[in-house]
Amino acid sequence: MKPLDKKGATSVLIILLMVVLMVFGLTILTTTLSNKSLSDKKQAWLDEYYDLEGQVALELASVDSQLDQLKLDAKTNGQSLETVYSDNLEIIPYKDGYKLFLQVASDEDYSKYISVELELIMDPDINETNYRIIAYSETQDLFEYEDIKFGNPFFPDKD
Amino acid sequence: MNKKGFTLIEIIFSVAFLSVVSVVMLNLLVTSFQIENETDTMDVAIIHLSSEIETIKSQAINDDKTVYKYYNELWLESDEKDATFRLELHVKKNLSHDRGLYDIEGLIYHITNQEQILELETKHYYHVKE
Repeated sequence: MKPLDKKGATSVLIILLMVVLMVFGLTILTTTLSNKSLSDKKQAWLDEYYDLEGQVALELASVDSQLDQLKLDAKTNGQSLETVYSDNLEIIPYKDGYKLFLQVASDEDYSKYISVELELIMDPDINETNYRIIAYSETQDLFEYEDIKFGNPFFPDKD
Repeated sequence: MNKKGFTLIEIIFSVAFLSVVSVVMLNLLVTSFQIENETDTMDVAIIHLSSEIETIKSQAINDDKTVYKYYNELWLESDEKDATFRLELHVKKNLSHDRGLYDIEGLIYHITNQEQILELETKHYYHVKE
């Protein structure tokens, strides 16, 4: 029997080793880059969230000063807070009193928004605060893939 | 054809190829390690900064305030002299509203590299009046 010719075996081994090293390195690089991309997304999300929270704070400040003014008007005109509030704001009955609903969005499509519900304090003698925050929630549209359809892999559509 | 010495040439070429690939791969690994390190730092910085912002929002504030915190390289709170990172939180009255509205600016500096690595800005309205 003719002995096996082993010339060239080193090259094959080295090529294999190089391929393994390359795959290993590229896997590490890909993992690192996806990690970085996730971290960037998290930072961008937090940036947007705090920006939106800032807008909510402005809105709350403006509502509060409006309530201050309405309280003063009610006192001056001798009217009840209920009458003045219902004439000027879209208040909703809540428990024994009323609540006010606010929504602040990051864009016109409302892809990300914060909803706030305020319970109005109907006692004209309480000056420390005009409302209590009873609900505060942030909503965001689901992340959608575009132009990708996930079909049934076992029974694919004929068309 | 005389094939003596073929294996030696083969080995020399293999070692040369392997060296080139190894240099490229090592470079790739070092870059990956650096990126991973930066990402890690950023992730922890975000957690610390947002936690501080939320803490300041939960407190009763009636004047401008600045908070400094120092962290070592493991992100444990430390003295200024041992610190690698500095967290700054500036709470300033927003003059567009007579009271209660504050601008909050949070920053994280890498002291050793002398660079700002993170910045977050928001506003908060303290509706309970003093």
